[in-house]
Amino acid sequence: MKLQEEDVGFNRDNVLLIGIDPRLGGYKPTELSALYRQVLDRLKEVPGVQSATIATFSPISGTGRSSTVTVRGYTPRPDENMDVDDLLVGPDYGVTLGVPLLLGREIDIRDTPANQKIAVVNQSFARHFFTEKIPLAVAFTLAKRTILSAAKSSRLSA
Amino acid sequence: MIGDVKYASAKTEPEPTVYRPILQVQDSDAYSSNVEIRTTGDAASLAPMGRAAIMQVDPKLPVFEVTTLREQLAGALQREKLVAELVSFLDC
Repeated sequence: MKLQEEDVGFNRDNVLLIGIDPRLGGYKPTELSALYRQVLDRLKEVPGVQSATIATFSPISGTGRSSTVTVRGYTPRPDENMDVDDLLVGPDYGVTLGVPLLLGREIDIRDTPANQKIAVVNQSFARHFFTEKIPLAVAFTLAKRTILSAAKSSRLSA
Repeated sequence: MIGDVKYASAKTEPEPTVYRPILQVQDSDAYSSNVEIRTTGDAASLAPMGRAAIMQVDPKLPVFEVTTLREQLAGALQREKLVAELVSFLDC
């Protein structure tokens, strides 16, 4: 069995996960970004914190959300499933989880409603949809969101 | 473009994935339940201070679960191993 050495794509060491529930906390969608900024700013002041981010799903959690994607310049096969994993993440995502940046830039603090809408894709996305060369800018749209699964992660209090 | 990350399980190959900036989205998609913190030392020992920092921002914000990425991965690998053993047992 080689399960322990399985490549999972992130650095498993020294990462703390804290679950919060802003919906239950009474936050409206438009109030979330202010809350997240405050939480991340406050956490960065805590001694021993190197970086902090927020994400709709954590790795190996068995949870996820998929959306149907349309990629400009890509013609799907007749019966092709165009669902991709759809995550929302905060600044410093790659740095915090130890996911390598391969091209372009990470999502950062500039990415607010006032600025241009952007997205970052993973290597699998690039391999699948950009067969010849990887464009620096790509247009795609997301629609029809579906929740994949909602398995609960292990509950271990520290 | 960033590297592939496994979200479903350690054995499931990563899917094509789109990451959107959570601070840019103002609809209900932005409800998130995962704060992720890289620590300079042992992650678990930072749990009380991490939790306290979040409570300082809003004492009424429900904080429901604290674990480490290593624990989450270990738990998943253990479950997957158990399933694999059960399958090989049933195959006998």
